[in-house]
Amino acid sequence: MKVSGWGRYPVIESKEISLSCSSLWKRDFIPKGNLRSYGDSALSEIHTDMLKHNKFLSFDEKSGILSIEAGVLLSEIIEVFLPKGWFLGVVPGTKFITIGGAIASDIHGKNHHKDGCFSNFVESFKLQISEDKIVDCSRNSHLDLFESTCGGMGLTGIIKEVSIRLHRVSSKNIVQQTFKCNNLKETFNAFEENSSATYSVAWIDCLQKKNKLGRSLVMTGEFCNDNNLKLDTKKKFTIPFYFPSFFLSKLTVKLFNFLYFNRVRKSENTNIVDFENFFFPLDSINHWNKIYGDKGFFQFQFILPKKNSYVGMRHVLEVLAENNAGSFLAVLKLYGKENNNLLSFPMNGYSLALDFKNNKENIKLVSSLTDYIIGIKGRVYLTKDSVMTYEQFNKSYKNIAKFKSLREKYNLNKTFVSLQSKRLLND
Amino acid sequence: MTRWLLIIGSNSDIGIACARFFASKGFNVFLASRNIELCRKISSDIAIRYSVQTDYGHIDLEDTNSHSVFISNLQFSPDVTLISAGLMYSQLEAENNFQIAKKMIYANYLGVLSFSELIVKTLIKNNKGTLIYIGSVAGDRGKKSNYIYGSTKSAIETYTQGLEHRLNHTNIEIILVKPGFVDTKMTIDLNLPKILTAMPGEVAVEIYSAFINKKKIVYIKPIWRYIMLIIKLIPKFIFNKTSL
Repeated sequence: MKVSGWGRYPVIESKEISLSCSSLWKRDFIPKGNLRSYGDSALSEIHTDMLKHNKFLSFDEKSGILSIEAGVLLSEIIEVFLPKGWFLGVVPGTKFITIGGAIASDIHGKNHHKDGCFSNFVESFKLQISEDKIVDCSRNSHLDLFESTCGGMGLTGIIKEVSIRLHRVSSKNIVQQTFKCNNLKETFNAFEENSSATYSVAWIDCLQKKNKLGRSLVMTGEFCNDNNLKLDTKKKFTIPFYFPSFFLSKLTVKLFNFLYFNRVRKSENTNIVDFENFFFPLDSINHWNKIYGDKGFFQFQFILPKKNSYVGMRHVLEVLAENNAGSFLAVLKLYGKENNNLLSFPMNGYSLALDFKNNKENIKLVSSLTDYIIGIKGRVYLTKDSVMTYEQFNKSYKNIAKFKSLREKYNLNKTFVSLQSKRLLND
Repeated sequence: MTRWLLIIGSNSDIGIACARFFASKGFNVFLASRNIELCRKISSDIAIRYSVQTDYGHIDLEDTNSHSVFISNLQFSPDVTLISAGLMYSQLEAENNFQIAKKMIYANYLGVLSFSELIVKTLIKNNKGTLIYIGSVAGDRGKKSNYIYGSTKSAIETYTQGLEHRLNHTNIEIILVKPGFVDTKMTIDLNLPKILTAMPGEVAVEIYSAFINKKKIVYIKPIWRYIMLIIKLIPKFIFNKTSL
């Protein structure tokens, strides 16, 4: 079957073999979830489909600890538990990812500055490292495998059964505050002034130049206390076909950005929005990735240490504006402390996420931006990557040697291999 | 009043999908299969997801002597009974090894027959209930690629026709489902054409809607009805030259 990540680039032929089938272990393969990572991290000639392992195992009402198989989607957990007043500790920009994928990417959300990564809410998991060996991983058991698997892009084994901690909420609604910021300085100030907000994120208009560079809407959010836990059943809109690739031109992006920015009239605005609109605005459109046309696109998300963030973001935005490479969605976010996981992306600082249409100029642009970012001690998010080079990766992630030797120690490097690991680790 | 769905062969992919879908519509679910540990897991999955009552028990369709005890132990009269247990070995294996053919006949037909006759007695007593059987498009016309498996399924079809006739004056409904290709454990090694292949979840939705709408025979992908019609209509002297 043909498989690709969410960016639809690259697309490869891959054979599915069931986890229960012993022929799976004869060659290298990669476990695959819902294919929502953007790049090539879940792509390999052979894969095993974890979506089929999706049972809820147990739930403890007192502690909020939920045990599930790794193929359960976050959307399923939300559907079952939000009406009962429980929510996930961390959610990314889409709810259509598996628990296994959330761990493998050690995902972060709009609350990273307060609550850290997804792994902070993971109590333990069972990790299958060979045909006949399954180990328990937690902060008290096989810590080395725990810290390399969280953020390990599926390269350290198969995450099977997971225990996570849910937390209490009393509403499905979010009190959202929107701050209209006219430039990058104002945007950064808004983040710092609102660092006590549980959730915060900014949408940046990348087409602005000079004194409007970094113009944005900064949005913060808190769960409401209105005791409304009844979920809506909304009809979804489906993008029916690949848009012609000229659809996303400078003009259309400019128009979109203009409308988006000017939709907010006051400089500060408070309203109550559904959690879906706040956390997962794009989930209401099925296959939104098709608007980039059939060649696909790639996402580019990088993070810079706080002390270099302002200067670095300024430079990147200037380059984007010069090249008219403004992306449809550019998301800026302040992050909290780095954790101990070997390949986790977040560090204390700011990150920017951009979409690029897949073409030669953009790949070149991203590559030179990557060099710049690495030069000022930043790094690129592996979950969204399909173009970083071996050299760039090895210069920017500091625990690679440790990660490699751990994979060798448990003999994982011969078994769990993806296109991404071939590119970045020379597997 | 809560209704109970009884699934025989609950660990098949179609069984799991139906258990979940019926539970999402408020049914309590009783899961029965040979693998009781897996039944327990599916049972707690459904209880957590849908906040309905679930229970489970051991049944082996091939062990026909155990069926009456199983049925007398049930604490309820099932509103819907789905028999989704089934085995499929390749034609080649079945041709060359009678034990394999026999196993399929036992699981797909003899076991179903034994269990079904007993559960029908319970349903007749209460004069209510729906029985759902899984047939196959392979039972529509025998062909060299799978006629041993196919014959067990056409036996089911003939059986359900007669049963329906017999129960005509009762409130008991009979549904025969002919899934066509389904993306399951049973078919993982076959390279199935996507357009003809249903996901277990789709099968469950169709089965539930057949139950609600009192349909008799269900093809999951409507296209299969036409494909099989054509296959049935091909004259023998041509048909026997094909490689179907």
